[in-house]
Amino acid sequence: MADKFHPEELKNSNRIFKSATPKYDISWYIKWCASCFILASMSMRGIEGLQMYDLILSLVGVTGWMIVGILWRDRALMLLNGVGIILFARTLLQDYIGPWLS
Amino acid sequence: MAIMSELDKIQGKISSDVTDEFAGSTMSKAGRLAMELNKERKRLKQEMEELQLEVEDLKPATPTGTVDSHVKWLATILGVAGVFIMSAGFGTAGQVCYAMAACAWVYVGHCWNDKAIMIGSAISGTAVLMNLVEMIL
Repeated sequence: MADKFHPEELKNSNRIFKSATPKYDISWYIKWCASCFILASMSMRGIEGLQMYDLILSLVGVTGWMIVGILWRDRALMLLNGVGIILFARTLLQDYIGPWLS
Repeated sequence: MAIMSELDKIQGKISSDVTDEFAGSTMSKAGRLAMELNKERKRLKQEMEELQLEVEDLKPATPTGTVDSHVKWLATILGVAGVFIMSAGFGTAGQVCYAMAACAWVYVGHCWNDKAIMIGSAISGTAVLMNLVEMIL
């Protein structure tokens, strides 16, 4: 879209359907990386022996989305992903890191 | 006389910093007032621009006060509730909440034209819905 329209036209037009969220800035790259991590974690969910990798990838994904929420100053995203980070970190500590340390 | 009192009233509203600057001026009262008003206007404009910048720094990048922002909050509450309900051992109820949250996030992603939100929510929502269907059948 950025190549088809003049930047001024893109900024002021009501006809062009634009994304409400920022594009091609740092939050855009983090958002897509975090989405890839979450999708990768979901692809190995339920597979025996890969639970720890699922948890680690999920934790990285939700942390990425948390950073995106902070960059967008979106409290809903911060809350949702904050809860996700706490739950994934707790499971990881309880089931894998705790037994490994003891 | 009435005009003079009116001028005094206007002068009373101008900040003391500006009036002090023109205190020793040899201009007529009306001329001095015009200069003071002009200076005050510039000061207020600058103050307004600074405040605007502060507001923009704190403003979320995502829309606020629209239907999609309300749906976003509903989806967040449903998502958090779903995760906690599932952790508490009520699997089906938690999954229903999570599936509704995922659908609401897909709607929000559509409204924002944000493909990452749409894809992530659609896939996780489908996975939860498939689990629910398996459970029902």
